[in-house]
Amino acid sequence: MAASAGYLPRVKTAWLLLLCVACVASDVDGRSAFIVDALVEADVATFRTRPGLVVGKHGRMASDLYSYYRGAVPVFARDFALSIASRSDFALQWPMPLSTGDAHPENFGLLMAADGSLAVEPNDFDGADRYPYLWDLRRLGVGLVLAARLSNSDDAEAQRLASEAEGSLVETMTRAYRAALEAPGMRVVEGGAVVADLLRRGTRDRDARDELEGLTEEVAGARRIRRGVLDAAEPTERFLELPSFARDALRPALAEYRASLVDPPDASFFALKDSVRHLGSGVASWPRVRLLLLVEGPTASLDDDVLLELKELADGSAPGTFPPGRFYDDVGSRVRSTSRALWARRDAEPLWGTATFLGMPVQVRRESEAHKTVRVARLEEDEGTLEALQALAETLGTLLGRMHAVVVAGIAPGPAIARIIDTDLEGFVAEQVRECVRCADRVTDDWMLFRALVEEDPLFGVRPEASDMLDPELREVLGLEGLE
Amino acid sequence: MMRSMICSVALLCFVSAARAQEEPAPDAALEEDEDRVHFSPGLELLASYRLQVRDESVDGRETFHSFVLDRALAWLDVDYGPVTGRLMLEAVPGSDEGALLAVAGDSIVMRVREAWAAYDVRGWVDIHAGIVRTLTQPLVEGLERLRPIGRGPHERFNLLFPADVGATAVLHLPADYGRIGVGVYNGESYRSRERNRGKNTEYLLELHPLAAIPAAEPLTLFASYVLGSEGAGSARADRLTGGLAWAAPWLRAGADVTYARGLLADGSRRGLLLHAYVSLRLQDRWLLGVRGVRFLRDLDDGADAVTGFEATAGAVVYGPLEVYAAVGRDALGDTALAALPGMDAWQFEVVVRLNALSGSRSPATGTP
Repeated sequence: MAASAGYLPRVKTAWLLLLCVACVASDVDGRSAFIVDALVEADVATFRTRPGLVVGKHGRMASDLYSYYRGAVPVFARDFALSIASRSDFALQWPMPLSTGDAHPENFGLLMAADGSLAVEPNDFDGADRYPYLWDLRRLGVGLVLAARLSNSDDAEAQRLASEAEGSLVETMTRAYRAALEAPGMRVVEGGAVVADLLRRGTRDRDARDELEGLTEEVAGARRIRRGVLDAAEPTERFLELPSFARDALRPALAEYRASLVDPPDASFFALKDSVRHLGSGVASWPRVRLLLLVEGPTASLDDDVLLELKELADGSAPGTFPPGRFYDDVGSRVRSTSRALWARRDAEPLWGTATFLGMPVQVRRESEAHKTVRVARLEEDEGTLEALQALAETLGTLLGRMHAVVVAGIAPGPAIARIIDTDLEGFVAEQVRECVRCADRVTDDWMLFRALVEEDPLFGVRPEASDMLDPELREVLGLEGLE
Repeated sequence: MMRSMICSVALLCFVSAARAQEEPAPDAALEEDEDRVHFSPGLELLASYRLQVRDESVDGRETFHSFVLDRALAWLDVDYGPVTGRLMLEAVPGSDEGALLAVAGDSIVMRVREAWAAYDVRGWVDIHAGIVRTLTQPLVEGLERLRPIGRGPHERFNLLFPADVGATAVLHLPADYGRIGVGVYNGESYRSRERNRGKNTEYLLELHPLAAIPAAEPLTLFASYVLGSEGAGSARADRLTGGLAWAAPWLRAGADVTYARGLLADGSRRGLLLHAYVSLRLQDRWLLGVRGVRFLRDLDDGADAVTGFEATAGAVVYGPLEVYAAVGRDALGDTALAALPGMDAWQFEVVVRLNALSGSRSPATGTP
């Protein structure tokens, strides 16, 4: 071929230049990249449309280890899919039990049932779906290990003792879980010092309607929600005026919400008296739309007004690998179905429902000071003793077992899970202890990396473009204008 | 910025090097034809009925069946002498419930899969820019010719992507001995915008060492290397692939291996994909094929593996209409079993393929 004259030397030159490209196109190894990618991948739309709120979320996650754990579910999900957090000799393909999707200790707390009684229940269903049973067991076990390490923050000796017992907490939780898989589901109204403290404070605040005192005020014979920063210790938590178009959209949303309840009160119960945008609450849900609503309640009296929290919902983290992949028609039905199935009674929180607000699926629930949640920061003094922590581990293990025993579509996952555990119960317990402690160590290391990453750039280099800009009205609802 | 500049300079040099070669004698008829713009539309549609059978029952049943639109491609090619272009749309099932504001969705998604302009430099070099086909994955898929029964393993396990935003330059060796290609991309594939500062580079060497012997021309060797990163964290995602194939019109048989450094944004993880296949086209009407895969997801843990096969028998019903029956199974190692619930199942499929090409290039292989 005539054209081949001088061809090879030129190719060689070109090839050498291309190798230069290879030399400069370097990239990064390591866990930091893994963390960044998991968090961005799971929430990329939020990064692009609500960067100011993502910065707030990351600030909260960087502030303490447990908040990081709460907000880092996407990292856990990635670890699970890569066999880092799912390593086990007791894997079970199916059945997959119903799950909240994030069964760490702070996602359990008191709920007030229709008859006003209080019991410990799972209280966060944002990611609820069907999950592998090991997913929940590991989330809870790692959460307990971290709770032990972070307990008794003002008492070094008590903290040391709790930390040394971290493995035994996982063991207690695991054995309680196994025992509850085939036991009848019971409401949890006792469980050592932590549950006793929750019930004591919850009962007190339920009777005093403490939320009305703290979050509302009476002005000219009418009750309204306070605005601004209500707690100087939490300056990022603010209550802002809601634009009028959003207030108008609340009325049909409340009608839809009412229809979603198990036993809905009269429509007059939900007559809207006031509403505000609630910023700076939660961890994983920090960037989500969250409103506080004041409705009429049972009578026209100001004293029985009811506060509701409206929160935007999003997709969960469920692997979804079994056909059909999604077991619910939409986000709202997912949250409604799982919550009512996982509670000991369907009306464990009778005002827990869902709706659509400005096109977004939302969850609406009662905002009450009676709804005390397990808080790692409160595991101190009487609630931070080894006995108290062991009792908490047993209570939460029992609750998780009860949840996994719930019959789904005519199938009871409990016996199937119990069978695989019983092939070697002691080996199973040892495996959970080993893996949960190992995972907790990694979470701790991850948090240090995360802090450094956030310090460098809280948006991890994701830069919104002009086309990412939301409609001005939505930006107003989200409270973005004051953040960017 | 510096990296981008160096990449650009390198590509320009590459083009210049190729341009400087001696030019072949012009063809008068060709020159006349070059004055006209040619538009060539194309359509490929893969729809199937799928039956999954499991060893264990899911909600009381061992089976799940569904009608699936695997993918639909529609494209328009433009030719104007040495200048060509393509706009290809792809419709695939969406994987998310939510949209930007978590509005419930989960529908069929239509998006741009390819959108490029290309310049053919005297038959020696072609340059593509835009959302371009990558070099390795389309080659493997084209050699295998089993796309109707499912995505190839490289794409399925997210090791390689069929298209990305960037540019490629391919130098064709004399006498059909093969080609040398290089590509520079964002690295996030065509499904996402750029998420990091790093750019992926891909190098491909495809050889037909016995091209001078007509009977042995189908022998194909290839090696490729992707120096890549992925995700907002710029995690390493390098891929070294080597393969051997017999690519005759009636028989495709081959094997390839891909060593992956960095998987699912875990830059420290190393994996290995082994892939072998045979597909037979008889009397230009019947197609038989089988594909075997073993994917070691973690070279430090032999039990973290997926092993599977797919086999098919198909026929051309009429013109562009083809029908396939397929069966496949994935088996998981103990470690992978916990991490990937739901993959371990038999799958039976009936696939209908409409493959209407009026242009000169098929979307899978880029070859006539």
